[in-house]
Amino acid sequence: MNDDLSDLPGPVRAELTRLRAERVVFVSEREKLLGQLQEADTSARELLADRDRLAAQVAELPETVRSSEEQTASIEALRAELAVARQERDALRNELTGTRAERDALRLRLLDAEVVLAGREAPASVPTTSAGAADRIAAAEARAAHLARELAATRATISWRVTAPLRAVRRKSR
Amino acid sequence: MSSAFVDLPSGPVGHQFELSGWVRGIALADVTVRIAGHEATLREHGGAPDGAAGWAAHTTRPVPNGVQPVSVFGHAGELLAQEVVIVGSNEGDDPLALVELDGPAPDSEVAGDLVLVTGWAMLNSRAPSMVEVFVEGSGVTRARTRLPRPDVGAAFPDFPDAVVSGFEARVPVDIPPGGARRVSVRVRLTTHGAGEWTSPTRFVTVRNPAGDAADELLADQLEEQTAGLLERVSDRRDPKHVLVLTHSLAIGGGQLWLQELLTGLVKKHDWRATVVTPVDGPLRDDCAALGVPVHLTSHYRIGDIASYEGHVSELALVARASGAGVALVNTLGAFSAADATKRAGLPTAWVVHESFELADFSFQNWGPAGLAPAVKQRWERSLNAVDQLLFVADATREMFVGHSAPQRCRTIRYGTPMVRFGGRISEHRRREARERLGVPQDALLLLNVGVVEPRKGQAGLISAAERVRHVAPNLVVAIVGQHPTPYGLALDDLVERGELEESVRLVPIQRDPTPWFHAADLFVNASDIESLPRSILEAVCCGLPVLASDVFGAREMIEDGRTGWLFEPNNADALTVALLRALDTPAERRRELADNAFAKLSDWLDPTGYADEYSDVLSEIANQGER
Repeated sequence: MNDDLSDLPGPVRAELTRLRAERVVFVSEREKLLGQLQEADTSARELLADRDRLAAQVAELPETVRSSEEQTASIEALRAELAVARQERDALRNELTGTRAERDALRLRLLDAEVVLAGREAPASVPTTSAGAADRIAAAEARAAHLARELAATRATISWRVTAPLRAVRRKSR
Repeated sequence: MSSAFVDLPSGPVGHQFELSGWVRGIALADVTVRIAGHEATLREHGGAPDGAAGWAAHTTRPVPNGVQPVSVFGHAGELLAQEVVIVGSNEGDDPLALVELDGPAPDSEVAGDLVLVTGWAMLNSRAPSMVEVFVEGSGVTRARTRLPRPDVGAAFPDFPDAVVSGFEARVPVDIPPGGARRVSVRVRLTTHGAGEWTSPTRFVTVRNPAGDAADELLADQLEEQTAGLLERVSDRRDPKHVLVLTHSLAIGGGQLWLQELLTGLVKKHDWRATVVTPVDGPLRDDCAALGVPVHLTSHYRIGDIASYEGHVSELALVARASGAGVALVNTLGAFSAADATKRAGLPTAWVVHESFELADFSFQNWGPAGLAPAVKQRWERSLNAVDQLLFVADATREMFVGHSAPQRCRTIRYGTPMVRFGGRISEHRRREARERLGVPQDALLLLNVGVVEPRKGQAGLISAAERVRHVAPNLVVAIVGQHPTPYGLALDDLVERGELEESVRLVPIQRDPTPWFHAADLFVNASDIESLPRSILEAVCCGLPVLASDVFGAREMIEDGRTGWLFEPNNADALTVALLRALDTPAERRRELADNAFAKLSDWLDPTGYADEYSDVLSEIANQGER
């Protein structure tokens, strides 16, 4: 290009210089826009890729939600099972307590019987009375009545009843 | 010549009664009547034969059940007549019940969410085997029995059990803050052979106070203030430095457990540790020997929300400034320490040894008024906030898991140095121990080790042992852990009144009770609350067959009929039968049971094992950062 503009008339030269400067600006602007266009294009591709990925995720979402719901349901079911198992355990424990109480009662009855057989409940009273004949008769009668009552009371006790079979066995073995 | 006649009643009589009779040849003023060994009050009474003087004698003090002597004395103590009277009740009738329900008073108002039922009782002159308390809506609660009652002992001097006739039940009632409910309360007493007795129903209103809105607001403001203060402290953490916050450095089970743990962490696993405690004690020297600094603070301030927040703020600042990377809080009552370490941003593990519901624990430690609602709310929040809740028994873990999450709750059982005995003691060592302790070589030694206190049921053990004496006349009970508390003194009284000095030995607290384990034949744990009784571990290590109440961790250690014998807690009949079962078991089978127990527990009897597990847990939460 011929840059010598000296032979041109002044106004034309000025107009040409201005146009050249504008052209530089326009070229620079075009380059910038091209760069931006490229960036936009890249972003658009990325966005499209994101969109596709998200679309794929959205497509999978019901499955994920279902899986998560299943897990939650599974946890809840396990919790419920655990609660039931604990209830059953507690019920069994209560039953065990009842059974133990029955067993303990039987063992304690046996202990009562053993104690009675060993003669630990021997009567301890020895009446000592110094009185005249009439008094002695009255006292003896009272004493007899008292002993009868004591015997009746003894026979009414649990230990006497519990040991009844043992006494029967002992009588037979004599 | 003087003579006397006693007109005996036609059936058994009650604890207080009047007898009549007559004398001849002597003035009534010269006559004395003694009933059950005590002089009765005497007055003139009609109905005597001609020429005789009638009298009526009334007991001056309650007479216990049984065949009781009645003696009539004349001049110079001359015995004129001697008879017997039966104190008791007819077959099929209710037993003789002496009962007083101290609380709650009828138609009273109870503040909080727990009803405390207390009183004393004797059935046919003895403390009942079992006391059950019925509070409407809360099911049946078995009361703790045989609690000291010196007042009842003084009023009933001839009743051996009177000194331990007390009972108590703490029954949580489900009432939200601000709610109230009227509930019925009844008590049932039972003893094998005597029968049962049920109290009349009484009603009380339980009112759970609502939280104070002003308190809540203040609590939030103070918490923000603490957060502001903490921002000014630089947060530099060493993940291998543990800040330990414990309730005390005095001698005690929980503290000794911690000391063994610290030793393992510092010496074996190279942890650096700092201890913060409100109570100084001999274990401070042990800390010093380990190179562990101790920071003494004030007692946990839980009386009101402002004091609570102030103390938590101070503890949080100490925690942040300590440079520790993880915190270990010891015992359930140290919740303000757990709250503080979490606010300081430290990953926190909290060891809960106690198998108590929060309402029960609160009642026992802070009385009927309990904690202020805002403070209680922080207790519950801290249980949920910490990174790990650690327990010594699965049963305790199960009790607390609702306050946290299953993945943050873990059981780590501890061991004992006595594992070195390997579950067997030689005959030579046994004989030597007996000689040293003054225990006859032919005695059947039943051992209980533990500081005497009502929850450990030593009074029930004494009673049960007496009931089986017929089966094992050489039985000697040794209770190691006696000290002069009201309960300890009541045990002294019980032994003296029952004339049991030959068969029951109350041994003061021993720093090292090992010789007793060597000398014993059987071990009994009669507690109604236990998480993981160390004494059972020690017994197992020494080859002793164990009888244990079926509670919490005890049932995780002992399997009924295979590794020992279990019995229902707070039931003297059940304990008696457990003793009988053990005594009925041949020696060889007892040996097998003890061997089974050692084999079952052998995996965690080694005390170094739990330090390893703690080191792992602390490293894990320190490295995963704050939750």
